[in-house]
Amino acid sequence: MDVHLKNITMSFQSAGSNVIAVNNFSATIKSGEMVSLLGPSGCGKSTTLMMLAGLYRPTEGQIFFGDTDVTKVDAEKRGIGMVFQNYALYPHMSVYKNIMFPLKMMKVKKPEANKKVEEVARLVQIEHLLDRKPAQLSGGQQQRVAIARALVKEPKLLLLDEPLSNLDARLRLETREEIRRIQLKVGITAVFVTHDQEEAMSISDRIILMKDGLLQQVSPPQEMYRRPVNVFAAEFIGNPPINMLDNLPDYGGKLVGIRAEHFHVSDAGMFQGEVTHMETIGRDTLIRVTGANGVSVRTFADAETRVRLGDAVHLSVKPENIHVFDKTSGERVGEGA
Amino acid sequence: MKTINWKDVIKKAVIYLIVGSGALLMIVPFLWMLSSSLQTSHQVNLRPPVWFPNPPQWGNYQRILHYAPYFPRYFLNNIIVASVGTILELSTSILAAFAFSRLKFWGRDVVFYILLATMMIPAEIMLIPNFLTIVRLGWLDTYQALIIPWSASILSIFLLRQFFLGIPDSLSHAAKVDGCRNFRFLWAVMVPLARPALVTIALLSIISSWNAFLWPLIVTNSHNMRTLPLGLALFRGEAGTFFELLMAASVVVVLPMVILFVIMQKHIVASVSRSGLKG
Ligand SMILES: Nc1ncnc2c1ncn2[C@@H]1O[C@H](COP(=O)(O)OP(=O)(O)O)[C@@H](O)[C@H]1O
Ligand SMILES: [Mg+2]
Repeated sequence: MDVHLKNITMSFQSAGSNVIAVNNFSATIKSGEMVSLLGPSGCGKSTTLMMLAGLYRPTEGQIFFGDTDVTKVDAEKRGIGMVFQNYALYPHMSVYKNIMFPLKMMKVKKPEANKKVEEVARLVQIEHLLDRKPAQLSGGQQQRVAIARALVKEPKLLLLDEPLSNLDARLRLETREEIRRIQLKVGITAVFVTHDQEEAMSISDRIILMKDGLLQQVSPPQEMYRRPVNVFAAEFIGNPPINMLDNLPDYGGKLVGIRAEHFHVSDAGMFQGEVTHMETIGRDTLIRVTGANGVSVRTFADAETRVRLGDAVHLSVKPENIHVFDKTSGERVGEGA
Repeated sequence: MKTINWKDVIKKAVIYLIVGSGALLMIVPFLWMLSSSLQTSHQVNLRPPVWFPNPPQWGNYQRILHYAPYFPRYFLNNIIVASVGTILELSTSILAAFAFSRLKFWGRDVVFYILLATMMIPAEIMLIPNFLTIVRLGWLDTYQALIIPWSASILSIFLLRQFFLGIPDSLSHAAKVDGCRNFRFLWAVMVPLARPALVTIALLSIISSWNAFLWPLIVTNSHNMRTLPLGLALFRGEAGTFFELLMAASVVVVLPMVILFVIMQKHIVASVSRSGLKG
């Protein structure tokens, strides 16, 4: 089922002032794909998800599930599954009853419901926890229960609001792979909200990037990385953050973005300076090179070049890896020459 | 070698002394009541008091019926009024607290604060207006008169509203997504979660209705409608008070509450510490 958002605007009236959380937002989520809604905190991701769920009614615009206009359909009737940041499990019910709850609301017959609960419990690997109460589970286990509850009624759309942010780093990595595995296995259309670019890059088929309620870029992860459409997209995606340089000789009046891994230490190059900082993390050595005018850039040093702190180096970069942006609008204007 | 930490011992001793004397202070009147209920009419008036009547006058309990033949009826009335009243109060509290915490409507908070303000009006001031209302409704000497005026309590609504406000929004969102509308959510999720608060409310309601004296006194006049606390007054006649019978009857009145407390003890502790009566 394709999902279309058409010119969605959502404004909140709070303390007399009008907050526009989502501003004239349009996007399409294709059937069976996993799309990330990515952006900094407060940019309107959760609000967008709530509107998809039917928990908020957009101030303006329309939402379509397939060909059906669901803008005015209540959450109860949209037939979606949702996973919340704090899991929102019913504390007084056992894991089994939690997962059963949506089926009970749909008045599914008991034997069939039991079968479905057991199936989905097997899918998310919590068969052994069915008798426990949520409080007796670890964060990761609660997360799985929440996913099971969202999936048990076989919804056409799965919404996940920062589902990993309450987990510790290692578990986050595992659970993220797990969520992707389940999504692919079930073949469900899914929207995954996150503020973590790495999470979005790794899990999704496409990323929808937002800022201040406005859509910035929609593209597959690698393309967003290779061809950011504006300064914001360039700076938000990638770690370490992209080097943004102003007033380079050949690029007057433009901003130039170059990712750390695209610089190479060499005999001659567009950037020269002194190595002022080095740190080795695992197999990578990250260095900071500071030019004569005080401008500094980050890059990686190859193992064989053997640069040391204080060395004077040149950095070269391939033209296609230079992103050029207009200084006032921030829009991409092309690549390096 | 094991040394005795005298500071700890003294601290413990002082604590036990204070708590113990508090407990004693609470229990002595009960013991006195129990003891008096088993004495002869001569013994109850002796100074210093007799603590262990020998032989105990169990017959006093039978004589209650002799002096107050309607006593069983009063007992029944008390049970009816307390249980129906409590069920009604729980229902109104749940519904009102739900409205004041979850539903969005114009003027919600203003209405709530006005209701809250009425808690500052002393009950005595409400006595006559309430009485007149009952008279106009033609409800004098009926169960309605005993029950309806007490079937909603601002304090209970307030307690429960605070509890409901503490239940995160995401839970109601999850329920909605799961296909559960407002009222279903209230019964399936909010009410079970609020059990500690509901136990507190039920107990407060049962106790106040069980012990009510003034209101039943003015709205009832037939034996069929009177309640236990009024029944106790029958033992104080113009010719004097039958203390041993009054005490025996009091034991009968108090006993159900004591049993209730023993049964609910765990819940009461849990509810006070969890709901924290945080309002
Ligand atoms: N119920 C609400 N009432 C008023 N303002 C809100 C409400 N929900 C969200 N907002 C505002 O809308 C903006 C976007 O919020 P949100 O969608 O939660 O952001 P995100 O999930 O991307 O962090 C924020 O400025 C937030 O303060
Ligand atoms: Mg959010």
